[in-house]
Amino acid sequence: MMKDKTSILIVEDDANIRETLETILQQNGYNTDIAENGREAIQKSKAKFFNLALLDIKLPDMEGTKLLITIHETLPKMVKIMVTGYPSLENAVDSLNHGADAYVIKPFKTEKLLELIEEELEKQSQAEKMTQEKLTEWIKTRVRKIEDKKRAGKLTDEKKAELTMYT
Amino acid sequence: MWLLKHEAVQGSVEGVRIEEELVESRKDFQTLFNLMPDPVVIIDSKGKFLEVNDRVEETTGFEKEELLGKNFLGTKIVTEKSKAILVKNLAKRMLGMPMTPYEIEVLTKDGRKLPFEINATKIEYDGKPADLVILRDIIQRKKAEELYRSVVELSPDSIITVDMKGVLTSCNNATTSMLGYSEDEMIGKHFSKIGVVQARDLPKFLKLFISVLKGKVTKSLELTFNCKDGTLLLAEVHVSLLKEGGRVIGLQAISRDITERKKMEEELRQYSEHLEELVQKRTEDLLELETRYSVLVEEASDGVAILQDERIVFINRKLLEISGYSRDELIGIPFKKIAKMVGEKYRQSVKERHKRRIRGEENPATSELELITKTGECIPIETSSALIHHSGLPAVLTIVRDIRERKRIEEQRLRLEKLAAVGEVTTMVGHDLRNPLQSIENATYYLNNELPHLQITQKTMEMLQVINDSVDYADKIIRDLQDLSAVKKPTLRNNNINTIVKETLSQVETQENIELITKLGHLPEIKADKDMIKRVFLNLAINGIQAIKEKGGKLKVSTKKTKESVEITFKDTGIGISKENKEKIFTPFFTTRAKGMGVGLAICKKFVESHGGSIEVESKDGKGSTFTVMLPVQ
Repeated sequence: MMKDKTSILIVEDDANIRETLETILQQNGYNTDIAENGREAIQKSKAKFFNLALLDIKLPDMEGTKLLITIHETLPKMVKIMVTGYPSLENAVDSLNHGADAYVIKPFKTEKLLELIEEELEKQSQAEKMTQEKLTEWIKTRVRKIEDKKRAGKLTDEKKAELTMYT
Repeated sequence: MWLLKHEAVQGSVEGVRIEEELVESRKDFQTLFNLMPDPVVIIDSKGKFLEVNDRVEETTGFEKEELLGKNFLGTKIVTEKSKAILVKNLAKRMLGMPMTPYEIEVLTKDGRKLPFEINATKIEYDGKPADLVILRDIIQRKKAEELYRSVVELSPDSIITVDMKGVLTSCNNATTSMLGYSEDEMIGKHFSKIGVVQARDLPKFLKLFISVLKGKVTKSLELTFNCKDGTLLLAEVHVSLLKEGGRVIGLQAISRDITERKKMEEELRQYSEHLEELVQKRTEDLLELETRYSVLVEEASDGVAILQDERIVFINRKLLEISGYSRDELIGIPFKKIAKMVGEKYRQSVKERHKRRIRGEENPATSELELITKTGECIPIETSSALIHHSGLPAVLTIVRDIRERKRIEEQRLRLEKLAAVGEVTTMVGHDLRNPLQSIENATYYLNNELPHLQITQKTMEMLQVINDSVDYADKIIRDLQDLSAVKKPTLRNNNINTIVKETLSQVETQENIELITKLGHLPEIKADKDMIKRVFLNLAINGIQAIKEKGGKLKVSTKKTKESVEITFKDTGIGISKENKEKIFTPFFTTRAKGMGVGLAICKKFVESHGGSIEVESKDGKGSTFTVMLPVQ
């Protein structure tokens, strides 16, 4: 996967972390954008496509979990990694049930985070590939079946209705 | 007799000698007349006083001269009512009718009325018929009669009299109120016909009457009477002779209503029987209680001792168990010796409390102290004492509770409270430290990546390394604090402990002077949280290395399977742990090192215990320590 095409949204209220993360991610070839709070994050995610978002679980205007739920509804396929402090570990685990793909606990090794990002993006592209391949395969199968039946020339009205439903 | 003689003398009136004799005789008569103990008068047929003796003067206050020659009707010596009686009776006598004595009232000169009984005899006086009247003072008899009557009437007991035929002649108030019959219904009737005495009792009555009449002293009889209203009355009957003037004229019966008394006697008898029963039952209860009590005391889960006269007279099994002494070693030992079995710093207070208790003063309900056992071990105990009676004599009962377990729990609770406090602080501090640390981490990562493109000195590289190491160490501190305070359940998966040991040891940095030996036995897979167990092993390994780092030595890590657990030991040949520190090393924030917070072993203990296992340490100061982790095989 080409990193320069991949964009990451960093949602983090701590300026220093935001800045250092952005620098590192850029150093590693990602496109980045930043949001200081939940509201800004929602705005930006609607305006622009991101492959991945790093979401701080504690934000000044809303709980990270709430932000996660909101974003997950509109962007289910975007990879969402929760960044959490230890005491809110439970929230982090809980967030997995609400659509998060992974979580990291602060303080984390920068290198580990980069590995995790790469892994998750790989999974994402695999999944996309899978979905595309599956869809193609499915369509192919259906078309073949229809053609088979057409050839058989025994289509009843009932079957027609069924077919209409499928297509 | 003298009257007859006098009459005879009066008969012959011849000759001087006879006259002289008569004069003599008159003198004698006068002397005798005046010597009579009762007042005596002689009156003629018309009622004129012919002779009055000295007693009359003394009794009435009238002088002879005031009476002699006067008709009694013209004097004030008797009441008007009595005068009428006297006139009537005088006439009767003069007609020769027989007279029984009768009563009159005499008036004294000073106006007092006195009852007298008149006893008159017809005589001849100077050849003419006359009355010799003897007056008997009956005031004493009257008084006695009145007294008798009032006694009889006031008596709460029934008093009746019957004549010789058994006919009722009198009864008192108590009789009527007791039996419900009126006087009229009873008097004049035969006692057996009234309906009071039950037919079956009649023979008893007759027998009693006969014995009384024979003059025998009889016992009282208990009989049931029928009352008029149909109720039954239990009576105690005394029967005695009734005499008048020495002659038996009938019987007197005194009956006492003993219904109430009998009822009370019966109740009393029942009570006393019941009381006996009660006493018996109570005695049995007490015996049972005593048996139960002694079993209870003997088998009590607390120690019990009884002190009498400053000596132990009783001691139960539990106290022997706690103290390690035998019964023979403790029974009879004096208080001084007992006090020596108490930890030194408590001795004074024990003695003071004992003195106060003996004086009967209040003491705190319980007190905590230490008991020195036979083996010299100091056991924390809680005692409470009370004054009791033992074998009837005052004694002091002391209950001794072994509070080792309680102390342990208290300590555990304190430790947990401390941990909870740590947790709170960690949450606060940790959260705020985490962000700057993350920034430093990110920044150094960036710089490290940029290094190959920059012209920098070796010193700069070293400084960057220092930043890296410091961030790592700060990370570890925060992580340790988090581990210590957070309630973390292990994620149990099947693991081979030997594998975890190998992985851990491969991460441990050693030095040349340190020899790392592993001896791994065959182990079954057990359920364990790999990350947690790895942290435990890492901590133990690092600790071991720390202990031998300066002088060099061996760290031997071995594993083996025991009956119920997997045992992992970390044995070093280092400086060892002193006895007093041994107990504290698993306590958070206890450390003998300059660096570090002293949470490593506390985390080990916490993680191992969260697996249901345990961790122990054996150590000799200066000769190394052995840490043993035991994890249960499920």
